Amino acid sequence: MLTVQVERLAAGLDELKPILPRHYEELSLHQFHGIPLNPNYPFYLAKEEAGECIYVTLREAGRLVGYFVGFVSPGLHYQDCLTLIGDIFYVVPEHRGSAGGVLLFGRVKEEARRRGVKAFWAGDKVHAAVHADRLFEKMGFELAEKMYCLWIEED
Amino acid sequence: MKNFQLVAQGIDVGQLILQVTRQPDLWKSDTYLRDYPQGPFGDTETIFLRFPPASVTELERAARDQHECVWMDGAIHLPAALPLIHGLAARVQAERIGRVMINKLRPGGRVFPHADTPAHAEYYDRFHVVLQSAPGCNFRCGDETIHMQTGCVYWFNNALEHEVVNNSVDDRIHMIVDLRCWKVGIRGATPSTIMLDKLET
Repeated sequence: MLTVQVERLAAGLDELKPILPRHYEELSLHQFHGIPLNPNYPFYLAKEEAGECIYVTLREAGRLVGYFVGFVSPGLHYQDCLTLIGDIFYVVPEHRGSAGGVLLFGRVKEEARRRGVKAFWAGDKVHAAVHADRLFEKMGFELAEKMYCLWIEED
Repeated sequence: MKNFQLVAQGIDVGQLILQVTRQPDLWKSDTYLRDYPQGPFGDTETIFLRFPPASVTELERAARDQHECVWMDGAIHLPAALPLIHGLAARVQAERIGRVMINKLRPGGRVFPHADTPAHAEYYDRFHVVLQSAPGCNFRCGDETIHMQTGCVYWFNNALEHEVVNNSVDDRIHMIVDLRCWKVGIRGATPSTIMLDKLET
């Protein structure tokens, strides 16, 4: 049985940390440029203290098998538009294909709606072997922007 | 949140949960809720601390108060529960203590969707004192879902449909306390207006 729930990141951080390296190895672009994973945990915790973080977990028998972290705040260019920007999301490979992603994003949408969010931005990595396009389409997202990255030292 | 309210947190429940853990036979002594026909509590075990002395029908036939509850054997075996119960009653300014039960829901278990009896839900407010609960255990009431944390006390609106899914690693153990809380019937008037009305009459 999979369940989704909104949780406090501060309470779940120690549980999340061991999964992040798997997430990094599977999806990180930085690893191809010799940049190791080194999350700014105090920043995340400060965001949560400020009420600006949404952390939703996917669990099976209590075990963490997926998560979404995003930040909620008024848009930088549109202060009247409360905006959720997805930071990271992941479902462990052994639980893909069982609607875990739909459950996860469904709960995020519900929580975002409850908080009055008007715009929800999320993306995934172009180079990734597994893409979330179908998940996004299923959840009602529309393709809105292309983001580019320049590795300056290598340019 | 409109269907749930955190009432207290950081409550020391260690003494009570130890007494419960050391007396596992208490879970088997009365299976009334678990065995209730077509009831939602098939996955739940219960220790009764306080409960009506007879069924609602029997009490009504005997012209007795259907909301009357008496202390049961569970209260004798779990003395650590009493200060928690009376402390909560004082905190919420309760004028009557109704049912008190400790419910255990196994990992993977559910309390199936149901709404409590309207007469009971109207008379008493229902509180949950969380003795043990781990992440993945979710309580839905109406269109809201929360995880109730160990050591916290919550009020919730048991007149609405509610259910529990325990998708955590351990038993979910809650002490449920029904309290009749003092309330004033306000019909569009401010409290000061009500006091004025009382003085004039």
